[in-house]
Amino acid sequence: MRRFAFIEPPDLAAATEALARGAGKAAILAGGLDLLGEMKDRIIEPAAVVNLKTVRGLDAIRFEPDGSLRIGALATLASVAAHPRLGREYPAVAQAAQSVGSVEIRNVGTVGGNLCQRPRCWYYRSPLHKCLKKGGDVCFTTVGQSRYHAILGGGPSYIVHPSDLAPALIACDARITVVGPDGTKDLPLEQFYVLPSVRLDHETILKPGEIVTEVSLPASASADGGTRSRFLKFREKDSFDFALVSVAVALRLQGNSCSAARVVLGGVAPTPWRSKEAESAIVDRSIGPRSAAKAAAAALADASPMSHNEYKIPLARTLITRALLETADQGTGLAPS
Amino acid sequence: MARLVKRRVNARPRRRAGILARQAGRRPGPVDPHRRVFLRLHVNGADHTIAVAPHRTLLEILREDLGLTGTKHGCELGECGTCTVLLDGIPVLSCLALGLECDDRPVVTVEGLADGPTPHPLQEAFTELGAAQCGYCTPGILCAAKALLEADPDPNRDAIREALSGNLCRCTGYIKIFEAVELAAKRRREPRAAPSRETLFGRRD
Amino acid sequence: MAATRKVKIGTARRTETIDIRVPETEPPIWDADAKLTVVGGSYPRLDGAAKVTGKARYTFDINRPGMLHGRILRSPHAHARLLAVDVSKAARLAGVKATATFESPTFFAALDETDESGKPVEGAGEKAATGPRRILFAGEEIAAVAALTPDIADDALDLIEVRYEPLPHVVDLEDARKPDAPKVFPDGNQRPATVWSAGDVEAGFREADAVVEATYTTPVALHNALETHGAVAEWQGGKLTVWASTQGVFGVRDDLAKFFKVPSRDVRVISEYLGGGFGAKFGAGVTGVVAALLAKKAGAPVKLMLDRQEENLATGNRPDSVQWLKIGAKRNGALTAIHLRSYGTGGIGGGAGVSGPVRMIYACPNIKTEEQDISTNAGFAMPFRAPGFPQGSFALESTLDEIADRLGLDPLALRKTNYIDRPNKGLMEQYDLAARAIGWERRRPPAENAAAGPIRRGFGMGTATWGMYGGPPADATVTIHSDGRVECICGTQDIGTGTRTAMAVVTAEVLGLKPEQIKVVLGDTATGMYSPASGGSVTLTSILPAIRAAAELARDKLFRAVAPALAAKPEDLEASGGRVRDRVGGRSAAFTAAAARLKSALISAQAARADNYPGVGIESFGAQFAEVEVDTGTGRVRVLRIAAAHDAGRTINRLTAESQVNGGVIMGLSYALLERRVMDAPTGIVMNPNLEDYKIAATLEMPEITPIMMDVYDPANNAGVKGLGEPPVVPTAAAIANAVSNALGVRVRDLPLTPDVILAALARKEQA
Repeated sequence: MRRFAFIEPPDLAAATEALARGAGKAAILAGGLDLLGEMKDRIIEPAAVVNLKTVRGLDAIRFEPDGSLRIGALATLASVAAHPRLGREYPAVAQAAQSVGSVEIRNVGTVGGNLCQRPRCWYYRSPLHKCLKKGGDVCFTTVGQSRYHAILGGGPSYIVHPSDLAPALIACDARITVVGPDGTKDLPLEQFYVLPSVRLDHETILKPGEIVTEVSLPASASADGGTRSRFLKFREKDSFDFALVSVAVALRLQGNSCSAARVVLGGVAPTPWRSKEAESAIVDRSIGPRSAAKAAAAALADASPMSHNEYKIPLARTLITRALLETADQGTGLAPS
Repeated sequence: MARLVKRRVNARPRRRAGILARQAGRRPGPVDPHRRVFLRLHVNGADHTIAVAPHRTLLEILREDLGLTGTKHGCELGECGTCTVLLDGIPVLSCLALGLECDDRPVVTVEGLADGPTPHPLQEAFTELGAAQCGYCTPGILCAAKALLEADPDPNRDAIREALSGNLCRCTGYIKIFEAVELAAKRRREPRAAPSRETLFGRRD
Repeated sequence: MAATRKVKIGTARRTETIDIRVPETEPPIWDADAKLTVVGGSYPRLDGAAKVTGKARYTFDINRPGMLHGRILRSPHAHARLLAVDVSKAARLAGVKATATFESPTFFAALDETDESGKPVEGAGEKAATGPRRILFAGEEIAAVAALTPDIADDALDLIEVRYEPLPHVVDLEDARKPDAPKVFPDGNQRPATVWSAGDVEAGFREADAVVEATYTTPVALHNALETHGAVAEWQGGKLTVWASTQGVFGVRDDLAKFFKVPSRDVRVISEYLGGGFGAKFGAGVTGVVAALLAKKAGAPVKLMLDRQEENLATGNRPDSVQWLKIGAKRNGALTAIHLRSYGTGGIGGGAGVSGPVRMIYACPNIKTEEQDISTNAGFAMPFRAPGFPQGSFALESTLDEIADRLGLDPLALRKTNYIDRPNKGLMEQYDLAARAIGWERRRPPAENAAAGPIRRGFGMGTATWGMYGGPPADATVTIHSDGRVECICGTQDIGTGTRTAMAVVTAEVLGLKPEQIKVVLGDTATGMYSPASGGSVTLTSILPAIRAAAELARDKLFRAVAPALAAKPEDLEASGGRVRDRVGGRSAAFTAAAARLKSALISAQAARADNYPGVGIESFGAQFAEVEVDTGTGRVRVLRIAAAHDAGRTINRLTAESQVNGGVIMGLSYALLERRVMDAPTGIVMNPNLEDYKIAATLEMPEITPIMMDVYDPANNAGVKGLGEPPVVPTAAAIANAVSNALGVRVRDLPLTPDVILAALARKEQA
């Protein structure tokens, strides 16, 4: 790992200032897992590292009196996964946090870090490939190995966003707070992510000097039974792996009839991929094997596989179908038909 | 590289409020990349003050500055779990932790698992059941397993699998490791608990 | 002089007595009648305590006074001419103490010639050529530095200026076979085929009632021992000491002696603890040579340990394979012909042959195998746990199941129909033991499984065999001190398998002691007690007979010293239960008291391994059965159970033997389900030289494993021990693939069985 200056700001203002002063050559250290990995692979070589952990109060998980939830950017994935009320009211979020990496990763990895982590694409991570995202002129997946890459929303880069937490949080209608030199922004998490057709050098709207400080979720409970959610992650290897495909589903149900739905996929697109097609296929319908399968088909209707990743289409269809059925307590979709 | 001060302190790790507890501003200015700063490390109950540069990882400091080579290099990228140590009592990957982040926090490595001359029940069980084969992954697995037993004194097989899922072993097939963790858990309740006959001798029918 | 001895061979189920010719000096063979009290028990590793406390020092942990840290610069090009290497800036960096460049095409030539491990000799002709060195794969060594710290060494690498002339490369197996492919070697990419045949396969196919033919593929696999390759080298005067992460200390010694042109007595190689090898760590290799070279140039010790990426680029692999297999059988399942045609690439190395299982396991009068190595611009192959066998087993056992399905036969019954019977073979019992353990009777025909909904269960099996017996030279010394301490000394290495403990078990058996009372010295060429490298399942089969013989000689010396005090004849004495006892007079003395009777401070006896006895010593065998669950919605294969029945001749230490079986199973499972090196064809670079995208099975992939060790009395040597390193990894992938095919009702013919492969197979079935 290259040498760097180490900055421990006392507060957010100092942190944003240090980052802004670094003019793109300063990096934020939260859990450090992705950052140090990138630095060791020499994908980035920041001149300065700003340790956010010296800023107090960014690791809180707290419910507001109105039932909404705020999760500090430095809350660890382990603390999110283990929070009892969070787990009851936003099961998809807890399940997603629990599905990340291993115990050692979850103990250190943070919510902010998970949301802002860079792609796992092997060309992006290869020090020997100067790909589109690193200022090169080709996305190597288009001529090379694409088994872990995008089937939706790709072009000109075909990375997939690796976060497990992001689809779950978006399904639960999360907003994200960003503090920067120009003040504080608060926006739907869904809008935090941008496709490579919009921006190539990063997967989010973050500008130099900006720091994610918090994620907030609207109250889950309500008189009509509230929102039910579920996160399913499929990996090639159960022990410690990124998602091939993940799906987060949040439903408002009246009886078995769905009044509102969010279906968000991970591992299939350069951003967490909200499928309004799937959502409209089930809203105002009762959830059963047929409607769930229809929604799943709708979600993948526009998928365009690359040379080595066509398998993600049936895989994603299965996961969406199962997530919908399980969320609506309509079985697991696993029984003999 | 200098080990400047080493003194014995109260072996009981200080209870800490969490990773954010450290007062901000102890190092008010940036630490220059080529300069070293003093770092206080509490490792296995001993207190060390050493000078380190910002880019050095906990793994490097443990092995190279403190001579604690029990913790191993495996992949350097957080993919194998071989470098697992306990920081504030919880398992972390020492290859992806900067030394400066560990200032004034208790670290436990494989060398610190025993209680003086008495091995930790996990160490005993791993030896007895052959859970350490080539032994290279063993220090990290022992640390992860210790944290598991602290949190869950009677873990079932699934909990053990989950707790150790970040630790690769290329030799044992994990079975003896699971059995050793189970035996150690049992021994913490009944010190004279014996492994099942099948564990030791396999099936002979 | 040779003597004829009667030995009882066989298994617990059946034995017979045969005559064999052995050297007169050989101790009585431990055959079926041998009454042993220590051997065959279950013993914790002697070095367990060192391993669980962090005290065990692996090569990575060795630090020497004034030690420098080495790093290697590697080629980013898969194929290039190396025009110039300039290390002058690096050499001027503060803290850099030595640099080395490898521009000469002949630089590593001496190493290539001496390398016993399979590193290529194809290019050897070119190495003698003049002109710029040709780089043959991305990751080849270009230059190296040694510096005060690893950081400085890293910085120095950045300062090395290299000029390459990139050349067209080929890394894909199929691309490399095309006539217009870039040539890896001047004579092209297709190495001459190896052809073997018995009988007449065409006649065999004409006799067959059913013929099945299919093509199978397997991926390139990477060893990924958790400790990477590396060495610490230190010169003192003209003498070199090297701590090496190696499976063969004597091989490293000889390679280094040859490379540096010093007598091998001036090179000492030490490897007390090794973090896994699996076949990739034979010989000094480039890493060992560079460490010693830098140490020589710097005049200081140098540690050179590779990182994970280097490990996966340039230290070996298991070649991939494409196997076309055609098998004919009679209606009752009797095989009439097997024809195998295969090719694969070991990069710039060879070793892609897969025909072992086809030729060795089943009775078939007509067999033909044609195998071909294809060269590509990729890292060279090294032996990888049962070289060629997991690949060959996968294709062979799969095709046999296809035949069984075609004929409506039970797959196990088909194997039994083609059983090669010998008295000194336990495979038939192993089939029954493992079948019972898995519950084979629960296996249903594929069509019935298909009605089970999205999650399907299946059962499959496969046969293990391996046929290396070890042999001389292997030497050992056993020393008894007058205070009762006992040492067993052999230069061999314990690569994690439990060699150290097995040495103690055999010594303890002979001396009537407990294994933990024996001090074992190993992992050091300075012992002078030679051992072969630990690969091919030959370690215990080579060294234990020598150890046993040495222990008996030492014991006999002790008997002679103590006999007068017991008023006994030395030949009437026996050692057991920690005592020396007169079988006739009944008097006895504690072992320590007996040792105190020695007239010298110690007695020591040395012995050498005799040749393998003619007429005995066939292969180790095993049978593995798998139960799997396949999710047809996601393509996920979950292995639920593996039952693995094996023998290693006479089991020495049941605990470590079981561990070998468990470890072989997980490695085979990982190969079956996950492992695959991915090459980027356009750039010629390995895309997954790490443990994130090169996936290795971990705790959540583990099935329940039932290891069943049985004793087979087949004295290939005086200890009756056979190898167990390779056999357990051989049939696992085959058993799993057969179980998956059984669950799905469609064959899966490509490893690893990742979701894409399963889903594609299901889609094919739907179309059909």
